[in-house]
Amino acid sequence: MNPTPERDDDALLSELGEALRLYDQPPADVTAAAKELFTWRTVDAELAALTFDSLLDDEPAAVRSTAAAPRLLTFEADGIAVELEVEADPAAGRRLVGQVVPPRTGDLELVVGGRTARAPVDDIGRFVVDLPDEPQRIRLRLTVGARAISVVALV
Amino acid sequence: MDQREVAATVRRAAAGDHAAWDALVDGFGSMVWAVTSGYRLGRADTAEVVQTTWLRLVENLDRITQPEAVGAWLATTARREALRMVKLRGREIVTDDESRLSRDDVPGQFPDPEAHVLTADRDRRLWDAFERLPDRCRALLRLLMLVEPRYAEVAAALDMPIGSIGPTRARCLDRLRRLLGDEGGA
Repeated sequence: MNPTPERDDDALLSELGEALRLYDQPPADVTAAAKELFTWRTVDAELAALTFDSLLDDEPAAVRSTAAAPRLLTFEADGIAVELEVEADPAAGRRLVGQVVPPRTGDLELVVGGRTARAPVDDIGRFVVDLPDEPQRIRLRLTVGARAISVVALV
Repeated sequence: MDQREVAATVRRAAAGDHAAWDALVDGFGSMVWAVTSGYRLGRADTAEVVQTTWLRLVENLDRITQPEAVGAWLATTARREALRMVKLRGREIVTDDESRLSRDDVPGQFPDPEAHVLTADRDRRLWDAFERLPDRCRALLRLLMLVEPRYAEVAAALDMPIGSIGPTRARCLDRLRRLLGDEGGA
């Protein structure tokens, strides 16, 4: 009357798997979009990699972040870093303040949703752009010196 | 894909082979989706986290030091990207889910079982019981229901030692059984 626990567990897990299968597969559009992302490798800019995010890397998981500390992110491409700070001013809204290290002059495009904004990167590698109120995925394309660097961030 | 195939596929993708990339998405897509779905982020944010996870791999294809372990890398990345989204949305992070049964998510964010054809009543009751499990249990069971889950990936996804997967699995299934109203499981 009492089956071995392992076999019992295997049977229950497999039955659960059957019951949930319909709902637990990645939707086709999500899979298609993931495959499409590969083309980002071939766009005309180096894709910088996220190496630091204060949201995740700065504090123990148990501590809830407060609005007091600005969010800092670092992206790196070959020999060049892009440091970002998200400034939230209740009156002026959210801004992204950035620094290219080592400093390079140039300009940038910020793509949010379907919209593109442009801004200069000054002679010490700094830039400022406005952000939408709601956190979302943004893409920055920096043209500095002879390099074109692409940064994708959730800010 | 065995580990050698996985490593070779990562290298081919890094060399620009789009078909190899597609094979990675097909091979690990269910796992990434399962990890991300465990955070009850809602359909749009879950999809966003999945995209960001794959984008991180695109960014890092040239830098992956252990291509054979890309599954564990993806599992870790999916967990971190989900946590990032949770924090951005200002939601509470459940760290000790055995202590609470959270039902605080917005209903209807995933396909409502009622809206689909759930033929068997048994399936619906399993689904209901599953949804009442603590987050960590649901995350673990979701991963274990994948075809041939690799324990290294499960451990990476849940930030849990490999050695505690078995005991936790047993505890979670026991809990599920009790939620089902002790019919002896299967």
